[in-house]
Order: sequence, then C-alpha cells, then structure tokens
Amino acid sequence: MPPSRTARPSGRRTALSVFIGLVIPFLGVAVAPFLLNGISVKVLGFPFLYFWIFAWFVLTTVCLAVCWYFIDGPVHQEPEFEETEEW
Amino acid sequence: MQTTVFIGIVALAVAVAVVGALLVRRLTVGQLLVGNRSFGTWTLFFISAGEFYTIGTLVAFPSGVYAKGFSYAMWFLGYIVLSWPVAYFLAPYWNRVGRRYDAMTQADVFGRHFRSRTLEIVIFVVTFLAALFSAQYSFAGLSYAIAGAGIDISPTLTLIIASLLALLCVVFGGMRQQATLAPLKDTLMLVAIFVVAVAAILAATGGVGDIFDAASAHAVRRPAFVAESIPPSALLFTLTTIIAQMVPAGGTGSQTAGTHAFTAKSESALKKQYVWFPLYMLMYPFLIIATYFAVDKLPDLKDPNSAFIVTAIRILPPWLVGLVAGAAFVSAIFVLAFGGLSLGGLISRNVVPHLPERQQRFWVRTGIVLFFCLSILLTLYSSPALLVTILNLLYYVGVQLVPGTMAIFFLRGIRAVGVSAGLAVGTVLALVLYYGDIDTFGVNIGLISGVLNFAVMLVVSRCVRRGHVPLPATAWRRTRRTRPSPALAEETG
Repeated sequence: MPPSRTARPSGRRTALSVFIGLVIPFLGVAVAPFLLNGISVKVLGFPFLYFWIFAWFVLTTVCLAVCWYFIDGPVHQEPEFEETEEW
Repeated sequence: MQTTVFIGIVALAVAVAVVGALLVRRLTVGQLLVGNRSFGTWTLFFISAGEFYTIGTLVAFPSGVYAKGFSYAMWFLGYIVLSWPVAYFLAPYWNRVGRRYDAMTQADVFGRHFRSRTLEIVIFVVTFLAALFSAQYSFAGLSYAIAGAGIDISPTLTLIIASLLALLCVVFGGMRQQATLAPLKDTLMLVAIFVVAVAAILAATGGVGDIFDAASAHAVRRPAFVAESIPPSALLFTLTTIIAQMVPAGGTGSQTAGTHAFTAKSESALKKQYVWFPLYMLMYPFLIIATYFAVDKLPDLKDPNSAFIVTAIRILPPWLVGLVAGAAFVSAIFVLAFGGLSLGGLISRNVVPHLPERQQRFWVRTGIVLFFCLSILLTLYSSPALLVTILNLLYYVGVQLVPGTMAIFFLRGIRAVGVSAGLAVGTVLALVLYYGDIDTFGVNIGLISGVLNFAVMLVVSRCVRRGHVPLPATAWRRTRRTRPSPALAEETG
C-alpha cells in the first residue's frame, strides 16, 4: 500500500509502534531470559535459552515488520523541514 | 594453499573496492563522506551490516563465549538484536538533522544545532576516542586472521599492511567504495561462519545436541562457564550491559553514528532496511556451534581470542582455512576503512573547518592516515585483553554521546554548555572506573557514567543560562510554516 501523502502519525499510533517494535522485543530479549533461567530442555539441539534468544531474531523482525507495514509505513511522510522558519 | 587462498580473497576485495571508485563520476566531499545522500534500502542494508558485523563477530564473540559462557552470549546477542528496534526509531532523526544542517559528521550536527564551536570540538574528541578503541578492536583481531592464513610476519607489519589496504578501500571514492565492497564482505563472512559450523557438526558424532552436552561437561572445570543458564553473579552485568549498549549501537553513540543514516536518500529507506536486520543475526547460532565445539575439543586454549580461527584450522582443509582467514581480514579492513572515513570527515569539517572543497578532500585523506597511525600505536602499546572487553570499553565512551543526541532529537531547554559538561564528566568517569579497575558491583560502567552525563547535562543547562536553546528535531514539523510564538521566541532567545 503506498503511503498517504497527507496523513501523519498520531501520538497513539506512535505509542503503539514503540510498544510493538521496541518494548515487546526488550521484554522478550532482556527480561524474559532471567525468568526462564535454568530450564534444561533442548530445542533443535540448542539449550533452551539459546533457542529463546535465536527465536527473537525472527520475532523482532516480525515486530518491526508490523510497525512498518501496518502502523508507520502507511502514514509515513518525508519531512519538509527546510520551510521551517525558527531553528 | 591456505596462504594463496587468503591472498586471493584479500586481493579480490581490494580490487572490488577500487573498482567501486570508478563508479564515482565527480568526487566531492559529499560523495566521499556520505555518498551524496543517495543510497537506497539495500545499499544501506549492506553498508550497515558491513560496518556492524565485523571481525568482532568472527573473533571477539567466539572468544567471549569460549571464556565466559552463556552470560557473554546473552549480553552480546541481546544488545545487538535490540539495537535494531532502537535504530528503526532513532536513525531517521539522524537523516533528518543531517539534511537540515547539511551535516556529514556528528560534530557538524552538534555544532550547528547548538550553534557552538566548543561543543563541536568536544564531540570530535569523544568521537575520536571511541574510534581509537574501535580501531584497536579491529587491529587486535587482525593478528588472528593472519595466523589463520599461515603467514608469519610481525604484528607491526601486519597492522601497516592492513592500514594500507584499508586506505585503498576508501581513499579514491569514499563511501561509494564501501558500498561496492560491502556485499562481498558480508557474503564472505557468512560463508566463513557457515563452513566452520557445518564442519563442527559433521565432526561431532551426535550433532548439535552432542556438542552442547560435551561442552557442558567442562563447566565443572570452569565455574564461570555454564552452557545453558546465566550465573547469578552475571545477572546484573548482563542486564545493564544490554541496556547501556543497545542505544549507542542502535545509532546514537558509536563513533560512526549517523554516518550511514546521512547516506540514506530518505527516512523511509532507513526504516525499511532496519526491519530486516535482526534476521541477519541468524548467523550467530552457527558461530555458537563452532565455539562450543572448541570448548569441547580445544578446552585449553591459552588465548581465547583465537578460538574461532584455531577451530577452523583444526577441522577444515587448508584452502577453506584460507577462506575463513581471508573473510576475517576483509571484515577488519572494511570497518577500519569506515572508521577512518568517519574520522577523516571529522578532521576536515570540524577541526579545520571552512576550507575550500579541494582542501577538504585533502584533509579527509590526511585524517584517515593520521587515524590509522594513532590506532596502530594504541594497539601495539596497550596490554592485550579479551576482545569483548575492548568492545565494552568502546561503548563506555560511545554511550556518552547518547544524552546529547537525545537532546537534539527530543529534549527542549538543553544548551551546548550542558551537553559539553555532561560529555566531559561522563567520559572521564567511564575511563577512571575502567582503568582504575573500580568495583561497580556488576553494574555496567557505561550505564553509570551515561546516567551521570545525562543528569549533568540537564542540571547545567538549567543553571547556566548562556547560549542558544534550539528546538529538538521532533518539534520541527509541528512548527512548519508558522512564525515563532512568544513562548518559542523566549525559548530560542
């Protein structure tokens, strides 16, 4: 879907994007492993925590893809700040 | 045979970079430093990956995991994967301020945003310091690539040859040469990692699971090394290091921060490429397999930094060892060239500014050479360390650029004097804590000094009411086509 030339991201849309694109991966990568520490299951031969981190390589991309293709991209505008007077 | 393959790969890479210079029709400073701000999504992708996944990936990461186990893998992988979401949200602002101020370096942005020549110089000093550590990181890794190639030359000669080759990769066409070399360098690195990992799996009798089981047995002999959990003693360092390094790595604090964002033709091109970056990290499982294979089969390596290369030598035929060593070497000279170009830009535009075009190009090249010379001296005369420790040191300094960057993007009421004071206090504290070997109870030094830097920036900006107070980048669009309101006039006065 081509981006609209007139729409702008609202504050709520930005917050949703930050939550999906940044907060969820942070919780999954930096916080969850401490709660999952000590699980001794192996997945595809890897210790569970390694597999968990590897899974977030894919899941983080999914989160960012949702952000760009469904939240940010459709309303993205390149800024035209050269017309700004006060800076 | 391995030496022949190694030399062939390095020669091919340098030739590709030199051919890249032929694509430049008219060499301007803008072309040299930021590729005329013309790069699309995929060119950006390869350049960013080329600059980020370097010899550190091939040498430092395996050495850290080999020496310290899962907790090192946890913070290393954690901060990198999280740096891409950070970059997705923040890097477009670099592109925006770069266009607004016609900036080609970070110091350009800081100096013009806050209208402060002093701050421009402070940014140059901090950036230069971070770049030196980054070069040391690459140079230190080179010796392992040379060892893998079966070449017996002195460390000094290794560094000089690498510098000359890195110079060839950047001096004729600058960023365009890097853009041409990047896909080859990335491909070589992925192939090198893949062949070592596959050979390790084939050499292990029971596949991947068997490699980890065998490595776990060594945890008994090395208490710090536990294959499948984070030791309680490492919890705090792991979490604070992820937090402290994900933001600068995401493009706000490294010595080359902003450089690839300045080259982008649009903010959307930048955002789109960052969506796919975490997938690039799927090479790390292969590196981890190779590293745990080394833990099992080569448990008594005196130098952990050699873990990946020695594993390759142990299980691969000579010609493939040459390929792996060549990939490591090309990765190193690529990032050296990138760092040199960034520093050359800083010297030509921020240390000796306002020069005619021709003299700017001269100073870019002179700056690159000076940077390589100083980096060689630092590498030769500093004590050897685990490479990931140098990586931490690099970010202890790099994170100091984050508060000022956040001020440019988001914060109102911040003055140049506040940013300068914060940078000075934070950088000195980080170096004192590191070189003084002071116990921080497991909290990352960069996080401690970065938080203090931020606090000093806010307090000094509030107390010393001197100098320009600019609007942050996020406020620019809102004020488009409007005249300054009384409140804004007061704020900018």
